[in-house]
Amino acid sequence: MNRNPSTHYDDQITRYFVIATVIWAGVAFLIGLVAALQIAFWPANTGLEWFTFGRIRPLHTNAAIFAFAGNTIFAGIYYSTQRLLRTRMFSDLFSRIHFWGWQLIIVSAAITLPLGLTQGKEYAELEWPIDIAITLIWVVFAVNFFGTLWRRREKHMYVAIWFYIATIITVAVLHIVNSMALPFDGMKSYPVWAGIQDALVQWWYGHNAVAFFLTTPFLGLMYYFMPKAANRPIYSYRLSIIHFWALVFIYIWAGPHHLLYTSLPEWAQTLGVVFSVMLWAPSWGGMINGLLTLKGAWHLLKKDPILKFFVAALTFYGMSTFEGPLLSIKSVSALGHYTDWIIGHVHSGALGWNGFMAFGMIYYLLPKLWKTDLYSEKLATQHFWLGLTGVVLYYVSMVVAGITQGLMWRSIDPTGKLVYPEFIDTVTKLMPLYWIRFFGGLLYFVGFILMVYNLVKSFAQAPKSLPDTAIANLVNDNLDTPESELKEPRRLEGFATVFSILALLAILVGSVIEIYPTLNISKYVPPASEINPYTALELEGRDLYVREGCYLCHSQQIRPIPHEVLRYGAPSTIAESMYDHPFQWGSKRTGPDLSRLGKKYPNYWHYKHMNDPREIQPASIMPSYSWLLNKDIDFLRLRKKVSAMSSLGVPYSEVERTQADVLAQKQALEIANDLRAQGVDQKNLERKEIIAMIAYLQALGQKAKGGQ
Amino acid sequence: MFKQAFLNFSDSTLAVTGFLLFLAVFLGVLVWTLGIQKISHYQELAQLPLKNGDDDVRSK
Repeated sequence: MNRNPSTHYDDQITRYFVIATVIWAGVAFLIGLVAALQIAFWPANTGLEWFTFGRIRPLHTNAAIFAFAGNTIFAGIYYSTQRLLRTRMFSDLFSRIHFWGWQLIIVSAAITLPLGLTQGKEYAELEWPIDIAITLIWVVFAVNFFGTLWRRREKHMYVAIWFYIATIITVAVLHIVNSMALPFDGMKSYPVWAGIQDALVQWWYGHNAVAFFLTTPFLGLMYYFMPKAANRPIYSYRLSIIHFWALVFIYIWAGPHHLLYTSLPEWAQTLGVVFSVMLWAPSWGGMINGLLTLKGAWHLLKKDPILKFFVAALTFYGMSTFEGPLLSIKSVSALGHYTDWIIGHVHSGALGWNGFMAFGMIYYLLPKLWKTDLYSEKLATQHFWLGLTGVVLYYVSMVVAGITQGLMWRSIDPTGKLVYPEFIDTVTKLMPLYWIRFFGGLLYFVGFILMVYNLVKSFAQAPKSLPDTAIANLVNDNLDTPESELKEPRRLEGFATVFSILALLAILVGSVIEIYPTLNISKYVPPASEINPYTALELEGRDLYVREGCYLCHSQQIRPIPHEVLRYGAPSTIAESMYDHPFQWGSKRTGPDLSRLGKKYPNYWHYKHMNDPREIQPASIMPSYSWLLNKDIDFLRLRKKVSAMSSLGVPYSEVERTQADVLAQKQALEIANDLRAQGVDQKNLERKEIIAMIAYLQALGQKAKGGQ
Repeated sequence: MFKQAFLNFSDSTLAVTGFLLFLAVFLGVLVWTLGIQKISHYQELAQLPLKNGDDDVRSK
């Protein structure tokens, strides 16, 4: 059987993905810039609900990760896989379904996230129909990729292919497990996981999304494009093998370092720290391997903008993979977690490592795919320097902001009191740094615009007809060589199926051991500390809290650290969030923790604060949520919501399920009457969303049976 | 059987077992890669991206 009739590579699909990369990069960067401006200058929230920070921040992260980085990965994989395996992709149709399906998913995200349709889980916000679409398109991509492996002409799979295999397998596992949810209508669902389970599953996913979407595929690209750009083989192929297996085994365990000092069991936290610190070795091994590829050819760096981007990208890879394990050490995490240091850390990776790898790859691919020279190397070099200056400004400002705020939070005077008891004092201090961050982002964006101009001018001089590249060597070393004649390692690495199963096992072992114990949550929750579920109205308020993205600026997890207990109250317990689908522990404190907010202020305070935070705190940078005062609650929908929660194991009674709307209206009227007694004169107040939000905020930290 | 096995596992046992499993496989990969294989073989493999790609002829 002739398994492989192809004679040409499919270059058109790579061109599609390159163009999509550039378009979505612009969107991701621009929205990021707006979000940065909104933090420095709150009026930039504009008062439009779909344009506030809480709505567009998920759009920014999804656009950056899945649209920009995603299309980058696909462009690089489609280009390099075909050449490394000396064959066309398995199916042109699958390639096109993958491309258009993925773009459709991104457009769906761009529409639904600003509308507030979110699952409320960072980097996994998209609602269930889009999650299903992602799964289907990923399967199409996987079938196309593994089909290409099956009909390859090159027996040996170069190490870049290994990284792609690990990416495809692991992302599938992560996405399916973390996105498991129970829909209660066409566009809304509740995650099946709750509280600590959800936290662990989410950060197992969140951390490994960084690992297997932003690291392993980019490393695959690095192992292919760096040697191509430098025109010399990778410094040490042996090191690349160790790099691969070490990353695949270690990364999957490191997720719990996002949950240090939380109510996650101590052993799981320690496991996360140990494996995170172990990541130093392979990560730096990989970086050094990439950089030393230029050994004896460093002079090329002087003139070649592509190599400049690749070398800077590898340097940022080294920096951020040094900083990640550093931040996972408990004492460092105590200072840095919840602060802007983390924001600086992720952007040094995203802008420096992923961004620069993408730009270098695009500049490399342009003459190959469009059969023309780059319009201006000088502009590309200017892009590099603008981008580099931008990242450095961004990173330094955020690290300084994070450490400053962390130190201010923990300052305790000799009498045992907080030096900065007002949270706002730790925010206003950072404003100049937020402006520097914005300026850094602006420089990066200007550099990107230069690249767009450069590409457009290059496209203009490209020939009209762009034929696919012919495959020069059509000898099939895969099928024509008997297995018995292959050298030992080629046997293992030549078996794509066996290799893929081994990689799957590597990530599954860590995942199961990490997640399994939390499924047995009753073991960690003392029977005495039982919790009342939210009332229907509080549940509605909680959904609004999720819709508005409040969790992006407020945590709900008090760490057992003296200054946190002084500021917020007793440390959070596992029981307190056991009915939270999804958990809302948060990862950043642009505003204070809200775990024990309930009953701290009167209803009227919340009403005024949500309408205009400046009325309560003149220096506040929080957006106004005035639309909550005007939009009506959909009371009838509450029956579906409570029933869905009940199906997920939240102990609601028959009456609470069937009379959810009636009970909610009754509670709403009580709150509305209280507000009226305080002087609020608003028609139909008891029907407004603000009432549900107040009910939820007043319930925070108040749900323990027998009182807090 | 699996359920029974899991029930008897304490959390620390799970963690230690996983760690030892990881360590054993990782050491195996190290020994295999650094000790058993010939350098010349790796040098040959490292050439793959340079052999299969832009040096291909272009169709008209």
